[in-house]
Amino acid sequence: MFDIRTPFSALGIMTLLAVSGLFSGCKQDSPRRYTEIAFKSKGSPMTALDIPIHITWTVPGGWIEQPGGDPLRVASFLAPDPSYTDSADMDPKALDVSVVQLGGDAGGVEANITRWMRQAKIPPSPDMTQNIAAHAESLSVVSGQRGIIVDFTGLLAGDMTRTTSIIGAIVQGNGYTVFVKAMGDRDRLMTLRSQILDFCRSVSIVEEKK
Amino acid sequence: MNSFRRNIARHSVTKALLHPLITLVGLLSLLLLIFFGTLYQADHGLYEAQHRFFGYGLLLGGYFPMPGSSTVLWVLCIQLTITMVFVMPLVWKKLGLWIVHCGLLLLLIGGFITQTMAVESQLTLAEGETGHFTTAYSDWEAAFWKTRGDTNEVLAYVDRDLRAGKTLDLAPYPAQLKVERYYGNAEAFTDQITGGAAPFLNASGVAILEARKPEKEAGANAPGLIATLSEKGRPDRKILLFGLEEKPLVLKIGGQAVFCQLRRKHYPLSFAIKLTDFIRDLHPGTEIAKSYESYVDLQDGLSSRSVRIWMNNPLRYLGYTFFQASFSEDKDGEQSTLAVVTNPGRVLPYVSSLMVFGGMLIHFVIRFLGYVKRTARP
Repeated sequence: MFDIRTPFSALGIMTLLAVSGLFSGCKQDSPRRYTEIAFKSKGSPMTALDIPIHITWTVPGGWIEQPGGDPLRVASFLAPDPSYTDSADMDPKALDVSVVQLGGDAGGVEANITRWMRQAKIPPSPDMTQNIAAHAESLSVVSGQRGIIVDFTGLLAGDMTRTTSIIGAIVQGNGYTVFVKAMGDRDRLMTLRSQILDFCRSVSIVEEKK
Repeated sequence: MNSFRRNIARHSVTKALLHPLITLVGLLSLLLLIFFGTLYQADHGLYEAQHRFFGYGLLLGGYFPMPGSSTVLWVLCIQLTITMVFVMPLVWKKLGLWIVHCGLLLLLIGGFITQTMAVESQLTLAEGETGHFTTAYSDWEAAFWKTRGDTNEVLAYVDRDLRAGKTLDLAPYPAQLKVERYYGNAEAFTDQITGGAAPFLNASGVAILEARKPEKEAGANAPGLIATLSEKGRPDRKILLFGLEEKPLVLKIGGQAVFCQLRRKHYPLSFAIKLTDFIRDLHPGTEIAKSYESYVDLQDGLSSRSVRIWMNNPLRYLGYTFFQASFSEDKDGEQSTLAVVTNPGRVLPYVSSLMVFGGMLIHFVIRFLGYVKRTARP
């Protein structure tokens, strides 16, 4: 029979007590609710310049600000098709729109067109890059600086099954370059082209006084 | 009071609880657990070994039931407490032994606090980057958040809540999430395999998850989740989240954009750490690292100070300890990884060691003085 006065019974009881510690030790912290600062921003490349800049813009209706995370981005947005604005669903082909600022000429216009072509999986060639740069439509932002519009929607990607493309703007100023880029489904880009260009033009770049 | 203690100490149940055989079995078990745990670690990794041998119980060799080290330590802790409360005589002669026993009890309490409350995470930064949160090594969470400027308001369920069949309330969002399947480690396939038909909402085109055997190191696992999102007044939506996705899935819940992601658990910091410089010295003529050091700016509110973190010289601030752990290198340059530990019981092992040492010293002195006194008698 069970007798508490034997060492092994006592050990059994203590084991039970010990295992009960399992429950006392459980962390009841779910669900967790917290706020966090999303940006792990790299020190702005502009901070090294004599004239830092401050960029503002006007966001088209229906666009959604994306959480931070990419250290180079000043801001990120999701641009859904207007038919989804009042819909309960999210546009699965919403475009990824970013604003990026870099110091100097950021390697030059042609180098950045080549970089964007690679991102859109369009095989770059020097001739094509020069041609795009030379014939790019010009653009003037709200603060007066001038730039170019880069639009790959008329180009075919190397992989015909891919439909990713880019519409963007490159604005160069006194010691800085600002990039506005919308990337995603080619058809969606063409639908939202005027919205994207309005957003590019709405950018205001103010050179801050030291 | 003394007679009460004496009666308890002489009671047969107390004697059984404090039987030396139990202590002996406990200590031998610890010896075996450490021995086999060390062997097991070589093949299965530290995480698996910790969970298998340092929990509450296990089957050794798959057949022999054996208490885990937590069980053994609890048993020894109970024995120690009963001994101190009811058995040890309250006399000055035993002061040293009292201090030793208190030190041992403190060591066990410290172990319990560390087991239940310590958090280990990491912070990886490239030069110029600022970190506002740390991430877990192997714990995951299904996080839902809305963003306001650069701040995210997060609701997160940790991985142990993500069991098949469980329904999770997403308040303040007017929706519930029913977990259909959760894989601790999974492989993901894009919807090209399914001919473009995407049965689930997913940010990266993942359409299929397949279970994989857990990795040797738990940190290398990539979990996957398939769940049904129910919102009042609209059809259910099936979502798929995979641990290695870089982009969060955007859902509209209650008319607002909500981001969700299966990610390593985040621990927000109340301050920020900015990596200003990372220096790696190599042994001459080799690729073997001689030393790593990170120069960081500790930014808390309006104050900021520069700190150097290098091997065995961590930064300690507000209960956090930042150790130089490792580094990595990619096309964007070097990145420094800091191991981040918060452990409320961190000081207790030092205090208990001092107490055990001091107690033994006092006990020795008392015994020695007693010996001198006895031998000095004519």
